[in-house]
Amino acid sequence: MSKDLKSFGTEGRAAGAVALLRKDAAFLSCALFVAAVAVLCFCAPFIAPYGYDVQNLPEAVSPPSAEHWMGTDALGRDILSRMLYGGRISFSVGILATFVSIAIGVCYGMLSGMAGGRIDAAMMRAVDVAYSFPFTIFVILLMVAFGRSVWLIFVAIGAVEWLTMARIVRGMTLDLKSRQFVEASRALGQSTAKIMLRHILPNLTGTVLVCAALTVPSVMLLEAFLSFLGLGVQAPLPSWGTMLKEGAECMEDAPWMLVFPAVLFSAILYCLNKMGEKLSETFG
Amino acid sequence: MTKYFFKRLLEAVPVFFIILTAVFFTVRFVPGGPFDKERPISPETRKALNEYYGLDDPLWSQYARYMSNLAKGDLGPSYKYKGWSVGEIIAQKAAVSLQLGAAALLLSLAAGLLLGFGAAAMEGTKFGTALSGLSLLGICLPSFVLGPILALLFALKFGFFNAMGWNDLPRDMVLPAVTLALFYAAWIARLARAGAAAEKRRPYVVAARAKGASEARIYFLHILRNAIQPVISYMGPAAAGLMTGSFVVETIFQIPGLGRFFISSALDNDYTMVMGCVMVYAAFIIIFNLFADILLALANPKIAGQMRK
Amino acid sequence: MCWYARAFFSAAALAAAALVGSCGKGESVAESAAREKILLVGNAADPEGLDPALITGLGEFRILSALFEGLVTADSKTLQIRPAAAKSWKISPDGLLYTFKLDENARWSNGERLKAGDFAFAWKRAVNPKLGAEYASMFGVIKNAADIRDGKKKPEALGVRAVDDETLEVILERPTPNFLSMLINAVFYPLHQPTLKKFGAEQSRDSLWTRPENMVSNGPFILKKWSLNDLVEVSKNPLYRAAKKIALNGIRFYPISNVNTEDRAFRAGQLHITDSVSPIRLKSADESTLRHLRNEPVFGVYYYIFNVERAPLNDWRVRKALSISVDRKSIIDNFLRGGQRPALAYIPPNCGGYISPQEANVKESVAQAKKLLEDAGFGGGKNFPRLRLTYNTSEQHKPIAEAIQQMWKKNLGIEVELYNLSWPAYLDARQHGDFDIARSSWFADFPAPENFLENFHSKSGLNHSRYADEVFDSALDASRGAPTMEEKNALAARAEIRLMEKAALMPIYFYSRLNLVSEMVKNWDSNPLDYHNWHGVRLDPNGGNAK
Repeated sequence: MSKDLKSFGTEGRAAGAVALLRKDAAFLSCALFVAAVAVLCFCAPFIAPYGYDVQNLPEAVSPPSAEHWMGTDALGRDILSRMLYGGRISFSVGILATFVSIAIGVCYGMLSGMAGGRIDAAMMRAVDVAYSFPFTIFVILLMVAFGRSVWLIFVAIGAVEWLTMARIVRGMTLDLKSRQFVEASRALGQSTAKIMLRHILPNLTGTVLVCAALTVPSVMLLEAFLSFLGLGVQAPLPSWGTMLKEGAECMEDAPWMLVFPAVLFSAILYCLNKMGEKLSETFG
Repeated sequence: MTKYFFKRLLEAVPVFFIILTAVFFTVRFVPGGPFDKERPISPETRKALNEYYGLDDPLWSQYARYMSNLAKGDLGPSYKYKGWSVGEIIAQKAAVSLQLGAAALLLSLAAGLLLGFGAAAMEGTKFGTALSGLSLLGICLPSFVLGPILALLFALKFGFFNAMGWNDLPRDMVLPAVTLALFYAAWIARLARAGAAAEKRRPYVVAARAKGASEARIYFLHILRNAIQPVISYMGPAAAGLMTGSFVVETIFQIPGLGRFFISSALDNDYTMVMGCVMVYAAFIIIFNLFADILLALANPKIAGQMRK
Repeated sequence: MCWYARAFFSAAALAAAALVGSCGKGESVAESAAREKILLVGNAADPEGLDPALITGLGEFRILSALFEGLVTADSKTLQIRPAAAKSWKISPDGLLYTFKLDENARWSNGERLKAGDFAFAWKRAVNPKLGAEYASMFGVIKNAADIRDGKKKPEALGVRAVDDETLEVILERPTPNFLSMLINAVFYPLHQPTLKKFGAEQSRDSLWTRPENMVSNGPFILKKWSLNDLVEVSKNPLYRAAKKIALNGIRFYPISNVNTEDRAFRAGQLHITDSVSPIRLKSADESTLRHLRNEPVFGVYYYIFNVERAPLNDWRVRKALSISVDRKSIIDNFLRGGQRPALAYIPPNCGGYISPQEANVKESVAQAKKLLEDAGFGGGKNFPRLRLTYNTSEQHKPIAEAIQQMWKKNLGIEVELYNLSWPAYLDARQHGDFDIARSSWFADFPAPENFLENFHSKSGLNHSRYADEVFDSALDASRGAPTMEEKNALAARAEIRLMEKAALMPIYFYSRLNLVSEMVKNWDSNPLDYHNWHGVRLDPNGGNAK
């Protein structure tokens, strides 16, 4: 990783980054692992040995066996199946909330940066205000006030996470705006909208990617926290967060209920974080 | 600098105002009132209660009354805890959260910087890779899993500590502070490592090394000084987060801090308490960000120059 | 190894050494507390107040039962009514006039005599609608109480009178053979008027009179410390009339909301008594857990209510089908594990000497349920609307709802949606009828069937299912007015049979109270009301070692 990207032109940076990352074994193995788990989870309906809500009460809390590779939970549901289905929810929450935060953050940051002057100052002031807002309370109030739905979790979490993104994007936009190629296209009479789409946005890709890669795991952690409060997805649907919570409550009596989800969850989060770090090193 | 300090504090006033207003109206959207109990109360009683707390008045006049009381320093009575005012609860509980938060902050700084700079110093070696991996663990496991594990191990199995409570200080601080600190330590380590790794390749470091300066000298005199800046800016929000307490850690270790009130007041519709908690959080964020900025200026003369303007 | 690695390892070694060096204690917290005769009790939810008229939770009641004493008390083993602040009483032949004689040794903690007027004051304060006491309904049997609650009469009109300092007269609305057993409730405790007056608490909910430095009480203990989310500590009251009977020097009540934290605290030797035991612990309960486990059936029932105003739940056949298609025993055996009893009828056995008649019992049968559903027009679950099952967020309610959801799906082919809400939102939904099926539970305030049946009376504010049935109402009214317990219970049986016939509710199980009690604790009796007057409870620091 000692080689830096200066040797690539601005336009070619993304391609160069991909080339560098492709050679990075740590990054590759992390990416492969996450992708494999994600694919398995999204195929849960086809590969899970049981449904996520299929109970077998007399077999509740049984340790790993031939029928249930990872044991069963307090209601006799198969842990492996629930982990697969739960991964679907956790990945979806992570990805969609990140998407929401990127959408808001990039638009907001770019507009603020392009507008400049007073508008920019006002928009950034608003971000500062939002930063001092305790968002856990905000999310809880939202969840309590408007009932419980997975979609709401996406939006609520996304609405929390966009602030950092907006700041970074705005900083970069300000920087790019003053570059020669942007001034050149302006001189050629291109509209602001076109400049934003053609020139600014493509150059933000790297930064946005880095930010997104680090947002996904932190969103997944936040989902787990909401589950701890009992505000997670609606039962009997599982998410990794709810499984961790249930597992943590009986770690002594039924360790398999905690160990399997916890190891997988940590491994995924670890890989996502590692990938984020690698990306940020590469895009510097 | 002093001028800058006061200017920033002055700027915080409208921020405060906006946040309080937003929260005041948001909490009222939550269904159910603060006085709902399983037992029904007669309409007469409900009327008396609403009258007593002024909940029958139009929302805007309640808002005006709250704000004018606030200006006098009165945060109002808690709707949940009979006979307790929000100000009193905060004063009592914030003291505990401050102690725990400060301990966790020091711990996370020590561990985070050690791990982060260590990993950067030994970049490329196996030990360095292991350190950077280790430093990530704190953001990979939720504290509600970690806390009970620590309690089972160190309180029950080895009997080093109590399993709950906040009496036998500083011993009772250890487990909760460690649980709380791990997450922040991981962030600090990541920032420190990234900062130091980038700094290491700067030309001035290469030049110093060429001149024959010792590794340690290069590290302490040059790299750390610059690499610590992202950590300092992160310390603002981190300190605020730590000092306002943590619901999870306070629940698991049964600590009478403010963190539990943050969540429970929102879940119990204790309107005034929610407002009080929000206020504490916002104040902490504003103050600690300011501190972080000043520290940053001390570390970096360039930034100090900008402040003077 | 480079300098950095060396520094790192030495720092880590130092930290580890400091950690290990700071530990190693000989005596556990519980043991040293036992030597000082201080009982450490896990007490569930944080008390929201300590005003006897205003408390609603069992944990708060447990604290107040240490601080105050009513006219009568109950034996903590048999629940038999015994004299307390009143040394004797007379009941008029028509059962309407009770005359209590106070114990001349009864004192307030500031040394003043306890007077009959202190009771009259407290009771009139509690029924005053201005105060907003949730338990004011307990006064319903006393003359004029209902009218006072509705604002039709002044609180002074309540049927209670201090004839002189030692004599209290109570006039009832109707003969109530179990009136004395109601009197152990906290709303009937006396209050020290000058103290309340001093802090402006006569009609106010949030005054400072309940703080340790201000409170004047008449029970075996006085309030020493009250710290929110932390603990409530009480210490022995030397002026208590029966101070000889109190062997403890103090009690610390810890409001531990997390059952796992409480369990760890108990095992780490920081508690003498826990408030609960998590079901999963019972699955692999080892010898040491079982040795400490107490399991006592209580007068409490866990059930689901139906919103009978909504189709298709307005059809009793649908309700009945839902109720009889659930395997209660399986939920208890495989999930709850605490020896709870399946609730086939509504009223817990032996509550006020009442046993539900056979005819009231739910007869679980999937085949019968399918037939009922078919009769109602939903054969095989076809066209059955997707109903919502509402419960409040909790460790216990969620799995039970999930299990029942599955049973309905498997047995009847119908889908219900689970919907969990925060406590206030859940209460709001129930009170406004904004639910299809809702979780419910009820614990007896006093042991009598009417206390349960009341919840389905068409005029009761607690009737969230909106069940309205004249036959049931009149049977319950008759039971309430009956002069003897036998007649009361016979009429209550008729009401319960009717209620269950129409499947107004779906009972699930009768609660058991499970706690872990250290062997150091002696004379701690359990009873179905979980009532304790603390007489005779003592601690033996060596009790844990002598096996």
